[in-house]
Amino acid sequence: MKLKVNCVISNEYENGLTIQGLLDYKHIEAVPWLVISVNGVFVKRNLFKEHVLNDGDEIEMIYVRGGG
Amino acid sequence: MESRYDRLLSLSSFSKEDLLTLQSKKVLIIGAGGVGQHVATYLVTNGIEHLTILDFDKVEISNLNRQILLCEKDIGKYKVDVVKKALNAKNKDAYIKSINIKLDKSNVSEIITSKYDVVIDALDNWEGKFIISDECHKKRIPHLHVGVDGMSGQYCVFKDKCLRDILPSEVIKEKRDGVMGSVVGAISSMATTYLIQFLLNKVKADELVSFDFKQNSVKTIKF
Repeated sequence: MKLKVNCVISNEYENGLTIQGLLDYKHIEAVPWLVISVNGVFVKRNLFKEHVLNDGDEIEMIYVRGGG
Repeated sequence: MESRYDRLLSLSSFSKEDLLTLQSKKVLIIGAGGVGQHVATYLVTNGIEHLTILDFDKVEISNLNRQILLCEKDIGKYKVDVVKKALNAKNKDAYIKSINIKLDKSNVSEIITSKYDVVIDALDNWEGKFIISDECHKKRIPHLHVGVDGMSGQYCVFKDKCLRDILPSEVIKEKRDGVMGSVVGAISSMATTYLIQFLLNKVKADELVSFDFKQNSVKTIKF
């Protein structure tokens, strides 16, 4: 299926992929300061393993910063 | 005769009523570092005239790359004293109160009170950011969160949500990078603009905006 991940569109993804599956596929560690949205809406990290992505979804990953 | 707000009032999207609204607001800034100084500067030059700023630190030479209100002659002085003087030099009509204390769990309930319309988290550590967010959420006071590190950062005005809704407490283990003063300035200025718009009921709260200057990207996440 097609996903847009951090502004990059690709058809390489398998159907039924979860957010955690996407992170594993991209070798991205779900560090505590990683925040993820699907189609602009925040997804709680306890749902990463359950949230199934759909064809055309847009996923954004943000590393929040604590400095001031 | 020109007044200090002439350019602001000639802005097509800004009215005299907007200025009166801002002048009636009471704002607390916790942290007088890079973020705090940028936010405070743009607030007192754009209509906020009741500002309390809290910090316990003294000025060091390593602060000067991003903390725009400080000069070399200020090294060794308390930041809140220097910042208060600098802000009043920009706007003598503004009532600036400085509090020289370190915020912690034991004193937060006395510091963050309902007399403030908004609280600004300008601290440089997650522990303090959670303390502010928890207290504001408990007392239903909107708070502006700002975080900057490396070449990126984010801001969010929390109203119905709070920091714990998006981050686990383990975030305090975040690895730190250095910081470029202009990145702190850019993100703090954007955050201040958003806060002013929020105080004027022109934008919604509970949206996180993130900037990454390495990739020149802007991302917005709704809760």
